[in-house]
Amino acid sequence: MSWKLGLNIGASFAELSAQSGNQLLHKRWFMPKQSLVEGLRAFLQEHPQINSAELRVCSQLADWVLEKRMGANFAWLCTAGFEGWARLNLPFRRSQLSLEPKRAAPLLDKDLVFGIGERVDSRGGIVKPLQIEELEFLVTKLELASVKEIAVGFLHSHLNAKHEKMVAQFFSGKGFRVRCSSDYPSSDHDELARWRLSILDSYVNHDLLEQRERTAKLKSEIPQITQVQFCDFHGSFFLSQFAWVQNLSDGPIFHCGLERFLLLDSQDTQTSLACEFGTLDVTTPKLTLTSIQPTQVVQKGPWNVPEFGEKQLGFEPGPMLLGKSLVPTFLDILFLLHGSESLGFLSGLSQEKSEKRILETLFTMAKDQLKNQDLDSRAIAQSLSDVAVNSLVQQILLFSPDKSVLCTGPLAPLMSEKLRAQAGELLEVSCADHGFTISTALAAGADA
Amino acid sequence: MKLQNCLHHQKVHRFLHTLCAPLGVSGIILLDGRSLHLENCGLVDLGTLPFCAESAHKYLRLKAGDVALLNDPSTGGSCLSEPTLVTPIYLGPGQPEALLTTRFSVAPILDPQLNEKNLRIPPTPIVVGGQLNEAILAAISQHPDCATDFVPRFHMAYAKLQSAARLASAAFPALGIDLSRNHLKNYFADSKIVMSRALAELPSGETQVQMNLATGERVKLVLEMSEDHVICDFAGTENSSRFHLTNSATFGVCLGTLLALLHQEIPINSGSFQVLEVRTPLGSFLNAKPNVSTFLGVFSAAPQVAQFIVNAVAKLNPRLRRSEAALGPSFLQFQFASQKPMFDWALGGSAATPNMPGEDMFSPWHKGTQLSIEQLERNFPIQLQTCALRAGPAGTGKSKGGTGIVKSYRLLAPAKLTWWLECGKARPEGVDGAKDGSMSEIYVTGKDGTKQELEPFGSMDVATDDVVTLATATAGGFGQVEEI
Repeated sequence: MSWKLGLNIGASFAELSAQSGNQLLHKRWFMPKQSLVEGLRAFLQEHPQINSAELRVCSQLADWVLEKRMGANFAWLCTAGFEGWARLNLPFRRSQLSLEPKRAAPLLDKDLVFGIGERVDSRGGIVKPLQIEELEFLVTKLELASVKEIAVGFLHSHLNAKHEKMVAQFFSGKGFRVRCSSDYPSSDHDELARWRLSILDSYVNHDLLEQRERTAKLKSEIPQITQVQFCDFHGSFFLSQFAWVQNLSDGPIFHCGLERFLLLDSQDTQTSLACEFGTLDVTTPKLTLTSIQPTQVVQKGPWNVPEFGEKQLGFEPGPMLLGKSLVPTFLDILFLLHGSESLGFLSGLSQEKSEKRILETLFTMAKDQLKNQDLDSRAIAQSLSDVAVNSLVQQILLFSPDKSVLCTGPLAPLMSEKLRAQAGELLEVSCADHGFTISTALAAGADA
Repeated sequence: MKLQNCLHHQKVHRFLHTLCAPLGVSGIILLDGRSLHLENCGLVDLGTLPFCAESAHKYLRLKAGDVALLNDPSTGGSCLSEPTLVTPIYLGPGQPEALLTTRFSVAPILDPQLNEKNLRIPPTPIVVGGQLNEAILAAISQHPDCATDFVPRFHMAYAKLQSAARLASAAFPALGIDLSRNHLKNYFADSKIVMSRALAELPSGETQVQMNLATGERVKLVLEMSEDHVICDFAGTENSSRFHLTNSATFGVCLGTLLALLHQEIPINSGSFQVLEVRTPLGSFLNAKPNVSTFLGVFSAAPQVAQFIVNAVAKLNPRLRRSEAALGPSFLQFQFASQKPMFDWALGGSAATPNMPGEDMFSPWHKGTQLSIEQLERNFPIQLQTCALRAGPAGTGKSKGGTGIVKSYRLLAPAKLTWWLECGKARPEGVDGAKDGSMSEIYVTGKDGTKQELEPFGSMDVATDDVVTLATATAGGFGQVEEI
């Protein structure tokens, strides 16, 4: 009997589903404690009936590479005269007036930005032809800088991609990996929204390629695996993290992952995607990150009580319940209020005395207000939970015009209950049968 | 502040923020005129948006499903290229009645004297009982002084406003948000306390300062700062033939400057407003009469006044000193034959401080995203030759001033050029031994290569193949570079 395996690789967690006919099996593991290969081997040992399987893989690594600025150095080649344009249009972080806000940290190294003498006009006509000889000097320069990735963005290349293709051919021939902005389908005349995709992909390429190479080796390391296929989205590494979305069923979904909360509707589309660096010109299923994420930090706010900050902690060091961090997160609030069992897989990772430490931290944050009051840290945790769920309800209502949502993912049982309790008749909330949404969708085998 | 109250305030604030954030510049204003929440507002918006909502309701007596459209500064608009939409929302029994408002931007249309020519819209019932008044919208869009992007931007703003209004009316009562009388009173009172507490990080004292605007008008300010109260008294400020700000706009400038000086998020509502008192003399450019063009007031004078206040505060605490910089955008307009004009703008670099360099192409007082080069070239007969940072050593110092930008436009058809250079012909000064910045410039290079440098503002005809280059100011640096 042949099996299909779906593997979703997050930043810290891996999720696996195996399907054959009506049979469906699952596993989740924490990669800092059990590597990808070890986890896969352990699963196949537990289920010896799986003797032959095709593996389909999706990775969320791109998000974290960007978040932690772990990506590779790459060169940015653009129309001469516009070298600084992408960097100058990076958004600023603060919405309230501020004398010293900061732009999103650029991915581009200033020394690796090169203007290329070429020009296409607004009808796609060539105003200044590209001279390939101009590019020769760059080869040595990039080799000396150990740069392997190149992103290319010329004005109006969506109308006439000839120059970008010439550059791509030249540098590919010299062993570089090249991403052109014209490689991506484009719906609008906005050079920045188009250029950003090639920039993001060049930045994350190296890490994702490494991950792919390691994962591809599974075919030779694990005899049961007969084929390994990676799921792409528009041929983009950065967007491949959303490849699984297209395989989902009807209607709006609130995906409650351990690492990410996401609202999505695969029956509807959007023609642009907002990210930290600005808007991307790409058509995707309708999706948005919620303003509350699992590892959203809790910090002291203007009212002198704890509130949710803008940062997310991720799982290194992770929420306080894992025993390493000193900063509470939304997951810690859920842990305090509902116990470790409600957090499913995370219950096995929680450390002794975490609960006490989280309560003490909340107390410290609110102690000025707690003086002579008959409320305790748990009341604060409850209030934080109310704020978070209210915020999620609001966003779901804005996202879903028919006021219904299906909760999926490992935290779905807990979150669906909380949404129902708070939203009442305002929102119709249902919960998926199991928490392995992404890997099941991958194993189901529809094409990305 | 009681803990219970603070926890509830946090819930209220988060709810209002989540409701308003998708709208961009927005707010919720109670029918009694008090501001419950303002979001994403620029300097002038902070003062004018509440007044705008109040005016709309006063003139039109809005009911559920109605939306008012207006841009007239005399009824609370900031300037004619920033229309506002206002709609009532129902928050449930026992809750205050309120107005939800949002503001969007369209391309400005200027006359050769730099007055705004965009269609002036008094409070207008653009939607009645949920039905869009297509006839009024058509009449507006067909007017020769209506910006080409008015209709699509109106529809985007209206769609977002509708969604938010529906959400507010449904979710507010259901999610346990309570703003009945006592809760509202506490919310405003505690917001004032939060603002006062934040003010404590600023210096106390009194100072008098005077400056001249780029075109020579005198601005005087007596600034009094105490632990819980700030007074901005502009007595002695002159009138101007070029710059005009309404009284509410000036209040917004002062409030926005205070918020920018504080290094924390503050709930922005009538409670936090109470710490500020602004006195503007009648007849001064800070308290303009109706029916004047406020465009230059909003984009040029407002940032200058904001910086003027920052400099006054820095007199009380020298650690807050900054170098000089161009504060608002420089802009130009090409009026082609048989086509609505093209408007484009760019910022200079921002000021350096003792500890931090300035940001390139940035002003703390101006929000807005740059227009896409490809869209400009697609819609107008121009070709951009460069959009790049200015080169050169200007503004260097221990902390470097932010760098300005150079934008060059090659004309593919003749046009009338109208322009405004922020900073005029002044070079932004460096401080404490640092280099001065570079001044804004604009020049026209003819097909034959002759270069004509232009005055800080004006209007002239340009021909096909002329290249117009706009270079915005690089800010002065701060502190001397330490020698090794």
